[in-house]
Amino acid sequence: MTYSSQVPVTSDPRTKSRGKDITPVQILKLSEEEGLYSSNINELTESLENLVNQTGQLRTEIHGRPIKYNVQIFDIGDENYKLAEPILAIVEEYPNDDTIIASFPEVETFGEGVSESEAIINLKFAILDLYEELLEIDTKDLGNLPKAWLQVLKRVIQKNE
Amino acid sequence: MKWRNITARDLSKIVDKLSLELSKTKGRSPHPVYWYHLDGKKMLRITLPNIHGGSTSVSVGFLRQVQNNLKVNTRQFEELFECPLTSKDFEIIIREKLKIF
Repeated sequence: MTYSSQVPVTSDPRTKSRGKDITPVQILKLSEEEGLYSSNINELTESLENLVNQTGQLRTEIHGRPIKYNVQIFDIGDENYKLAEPILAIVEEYPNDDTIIASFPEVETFGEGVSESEAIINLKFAILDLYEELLEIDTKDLGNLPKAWLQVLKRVIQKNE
Repeated sequence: MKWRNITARDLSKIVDKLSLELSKTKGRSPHPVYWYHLDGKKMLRITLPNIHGGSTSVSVGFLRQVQNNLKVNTRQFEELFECPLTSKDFEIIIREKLKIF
């Protein structure tokens, strides 16, 4: 087998049947001459255009999606309370809005801010507001969800002695 | 993107529609919180944007959280403040979601 030092040689299986090594450009020329694939070119062009459109739509969609990550909260931000265990919060950055949301999904509470720290501070406020409010409500007036939140918060938050 | 122009005032329509009760929090958080009642019990707790935000658009992140608080899908959420979804429709959705029959 001989290799040209300047023109890349293809390993395309179609070249085998021709009994010699030829370049991709030569394959294309031969295909055109033989009328091969001509009916498929339009379909391929159409498919390619569709793919380009879909890629553009996906890019727009991805751009609007938040960047999510977890942060641990070790302190609830009030001297009257302490955390028995760290809270795992979810931070979502919305680049299109310049907004950051920090949430504690287990109790369906969140804080909003223009920075991560502001969002986390507001989340702490929201958690404490919820905890103190739930403590003051008779449990028979609470639905199953708020009861479950209270259980979680009682486990996580402790009163400072 | 959708939801670009939803204001705090638009969302406040939900309060009357679902007869939400303002929560008695200590108010550390800057946003008002409401309770949704079903069968005399507090079922859902919804944080809405401060009405003083007025005509400013509410961020998509905040809207997602409100939607999550309300336990509705995107279409139902839009219908809630655009009117077609009534308080009775909402009650049926919540009963199904929370399995209260």
